[in-house]
Amino acid sequence: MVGMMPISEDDRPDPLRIPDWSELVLRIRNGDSEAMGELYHVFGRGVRFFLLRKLGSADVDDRVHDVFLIVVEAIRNGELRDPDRLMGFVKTVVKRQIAAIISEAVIRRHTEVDYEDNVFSLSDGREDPERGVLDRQREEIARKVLQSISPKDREILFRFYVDEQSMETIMEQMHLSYNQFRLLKSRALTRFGKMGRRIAQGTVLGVKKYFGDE
Amino acid sequence: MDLSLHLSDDQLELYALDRLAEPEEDRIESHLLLCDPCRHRLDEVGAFAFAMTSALRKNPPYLDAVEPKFPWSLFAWRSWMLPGMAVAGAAAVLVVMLFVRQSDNRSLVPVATLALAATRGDAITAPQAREYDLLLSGSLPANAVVKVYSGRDEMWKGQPVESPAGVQAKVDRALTPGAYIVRLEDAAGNTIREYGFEVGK
Repeated sequence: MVGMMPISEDDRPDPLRIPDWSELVLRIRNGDSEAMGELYHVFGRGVRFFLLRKLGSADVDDRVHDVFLIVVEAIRNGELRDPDRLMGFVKTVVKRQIAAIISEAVIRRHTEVDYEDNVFSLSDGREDPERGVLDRQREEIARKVLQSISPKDREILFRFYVDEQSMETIMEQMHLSYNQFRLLKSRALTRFGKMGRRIAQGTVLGVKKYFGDE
Repeated sequence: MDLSLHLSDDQLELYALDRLAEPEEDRIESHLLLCDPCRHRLDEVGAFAFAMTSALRKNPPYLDAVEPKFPWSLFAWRSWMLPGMAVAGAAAVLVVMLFVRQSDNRSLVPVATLALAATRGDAITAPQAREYDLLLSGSLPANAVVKVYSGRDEMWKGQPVESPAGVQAKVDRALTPGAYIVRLEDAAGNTIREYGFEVGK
């Protein structure tokens, strides 16, 4: 992930096409199996994304499947009264699943002292060595980016990321325009991406520059 | 918000940092549920944001120029308070209580007590003393330690205790004149809060 090609805001495709929820819901109610496939096609990657983000990779396929079972059953039982609310309903089911799994894990953690149990792997980067290495690598890249910018720019980023000041507050207190603020962050992000790509591509120059000459 | 419109980097970053109000967060999640490119972009800006936060916590800008042996270092410590900047937040409360006792060494007071708040403002100046009782604003997380830095040099480390008045730490050594950073760190070495003070001549 460190070396991903960054997509600029301008490179993203045309506005998202929102399907006709009413038509899709009606077809599912009528038992149209193709409609169920379309439902999965529309929501599958997004549901998987949120489950991965909140719960980690353990059992993610089963959890995605559970979400769709719940959604389809609800549609067939007429629980989804307003088809136009399909999107909100899917989101609600995902959130409830996440909450239920986390709740279950917390209860298990209190009652079972078992460090082999994957309950401790719930989206916790510290238990994933590979992710830990990646996080440290990214932090090092960020540190190098910070070294390459002026003290004032470092101060601006410190206020935003560590002090959690809003963009408006920082702009007012440091007499910056909106464009100046955005440009600073955009440049830092671009440098971060470039350094990450160099490392990921494993070029001799990139590796030497990153780790230092041996 | 029109769900068909893609999300800006600003929106994605604030979402990744969990700094959005619920209504906007909800709308963003609705778009992310459907949009591959925006999820991909969220991963990128999120990675950048977390890496920056972590790097800045460990390398705050005000540690760049602290040189306590030079008089003007007192102002260097405040270099992150750029000229013309309005001072945000409440001012630090200074309570200095001097316990003067008969002592063979009359050049140092035995103990100087300082109450420090983690906000930016005028630096608190303490007299030279043999010990410093620090009272730090905020709560005390579990397994936290207090460290006192002069520039990048760690001058003292110790276990704080929580009291009704705040977090207390006793720096049981004398400090030479200059600027100092006090950091409350968790067990992993991450900075929870930072404070600063100066020791005058």
